[in-house]
Amino acid sequence: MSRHPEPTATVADPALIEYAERLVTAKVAERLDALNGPLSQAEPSPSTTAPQLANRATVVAFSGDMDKLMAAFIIATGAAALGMEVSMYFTFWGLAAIKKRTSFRRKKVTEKLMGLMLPSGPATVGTSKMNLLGMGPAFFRYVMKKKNVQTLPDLVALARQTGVRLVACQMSMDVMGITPDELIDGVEYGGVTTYLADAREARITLFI
Amino acid sequence: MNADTQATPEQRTADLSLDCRELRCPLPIVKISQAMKEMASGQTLWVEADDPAFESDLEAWVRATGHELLQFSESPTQRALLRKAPPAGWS
Repeated sequence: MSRHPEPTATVADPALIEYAERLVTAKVAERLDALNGPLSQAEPSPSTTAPQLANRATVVAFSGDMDKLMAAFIIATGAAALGMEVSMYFTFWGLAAIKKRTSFRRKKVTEKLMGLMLPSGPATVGTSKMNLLGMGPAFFRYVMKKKNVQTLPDLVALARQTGVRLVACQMSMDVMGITPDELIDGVEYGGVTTYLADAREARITLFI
Repeated sequence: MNADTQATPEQRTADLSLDCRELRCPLPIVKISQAMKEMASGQTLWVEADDPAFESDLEAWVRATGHELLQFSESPTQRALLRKAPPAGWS
């Protein structure tokens, strides 16, 4: 016997075909309704909606190099001058830009060692190239003064003056043994969510 | 204002004038934006600068903020006359 028998005379009966078609149509409609109900009621969840973009720029200052930090601060102050809301997040080596001093009191040995090896503030950071054991930055500062270019400490002051928010990453501070009294006044503290909540609505976000 | 500057008619009629000579990026634009904040809409600001990036930065700043650049000349130094725009949402 063949696996696909030819249709017999009874299957070709018009009344039976019409009955079968009605059954199929009804079943398909029932299944579609079941699917359509939940779909039309479903609302996009808040986590998948695109955030409204604010006139905001955020900068992550990760590098502790004078040249890179200068770029970060020039962009931040430039954005502030454009009327943008600007925030800078300082993490790892970048924290050097907002330090005012290094203190060793009441610190663990590892934290004291960190303090010895890290720059005490924006005036003592090295350059990413041509550092020459610390002579490079001095040379750069001399050349920049000659050419009337703002130094890194000048730019930090300008950022504060133009309303740029400076946020220190608390985890990095903990790792590096940096305490709030070592940072300049007016600094805010936060974690990655503080940055992300700001950055997801920002038109510009940079990692420097 | 320095004594060595010859006051131009535009400078004399401007509501405020700003000497940005010897200032480098981003200071001239930062100073202009700070000065503009203190001004009323329609007031004019005269600026003199010698930063090499001044012209292109000023044009970009005007485009982004909506303030008006009424005049710009390059010699002997760069001189610009700006007019503060009405607050956003006007017209």
